[in-house]
Amino acid sequence: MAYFTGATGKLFLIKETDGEDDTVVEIAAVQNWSVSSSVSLISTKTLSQTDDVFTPVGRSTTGSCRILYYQETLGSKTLSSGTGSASTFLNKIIKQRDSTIPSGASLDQNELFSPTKAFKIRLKIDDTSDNGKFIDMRVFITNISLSMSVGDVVAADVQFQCQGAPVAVDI
Amino acid sequence: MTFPITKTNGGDLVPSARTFESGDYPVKTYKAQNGAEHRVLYGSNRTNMKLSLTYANIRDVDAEKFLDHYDEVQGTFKTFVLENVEGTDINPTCVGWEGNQDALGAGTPGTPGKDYRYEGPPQVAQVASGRSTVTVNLIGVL
Repeated sequence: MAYFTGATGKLFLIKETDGEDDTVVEIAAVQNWSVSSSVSLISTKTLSQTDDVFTPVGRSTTGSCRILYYQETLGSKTLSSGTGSASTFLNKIIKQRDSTIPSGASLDQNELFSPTKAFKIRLKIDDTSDNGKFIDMRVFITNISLSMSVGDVVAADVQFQCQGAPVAVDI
Repeated sequence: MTFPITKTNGGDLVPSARTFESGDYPVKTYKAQNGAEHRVLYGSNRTNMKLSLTYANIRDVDAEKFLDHYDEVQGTFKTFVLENVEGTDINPTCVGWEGNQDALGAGTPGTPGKDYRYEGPPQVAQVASGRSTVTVNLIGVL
């Protein structure tokens, strides 16, 4: 029997580029991730029935993660090849003004793949198999909170909402 | 011209909420100059009962039955009876009511005249794919 701890958890950003194969980039220094799926029901209970009767009508998948903000080389945001940092997520919604939008910036979160504005991530449990156990989903970041305080490392709390059903599930 | 009482896939079509207003006898009220009230009763039967039925989150194919029925009775023109399920004394529109079924009828209990007609068109609100909530307002006529 095998149990898994946080040490087996990983978070990946799946980079999509038009006409090219996807590239999987591991996000470094992830402290935790969580995913939550809920089903919405409507009541079909009628007069004289004593107990609730429901029909499922929708599903919502949300998640969150906490990523430490750090630099491999002080003064440089660049990390080792194939690795992403908190900035990868931060820059998806915290953006400087775009010259094409007066006083604004693009809301697209998938800059490399124009057909969709959401981007793909993979939440993985490394069970030593080839691909591990994972959930791939296309998400929008709905909230990022970057906080700094005395006695603590800088970290970004990220919340995301799944666009449609997960793209691939093996868990 | 049966009011929808059976689901497409079988089973009774039972409302999830029902309100009933018991109407009134045809009474005319006059006020005398001294303030005294005089009432004249013009008829012996209670009328103008109002029955509102809500069928929450039913399947669209069942919701459609109300629209078809509304068409069958030519909208608010023709009257109809809220019938029992064939061969039983169960009236799906009255399910849950433990009093005498006549009390929720369109006519005065014990007298003829149990017909309803639509007070207005059925209201259909789509709540999810394949599911709708239908509200039907009926009015009793003699």
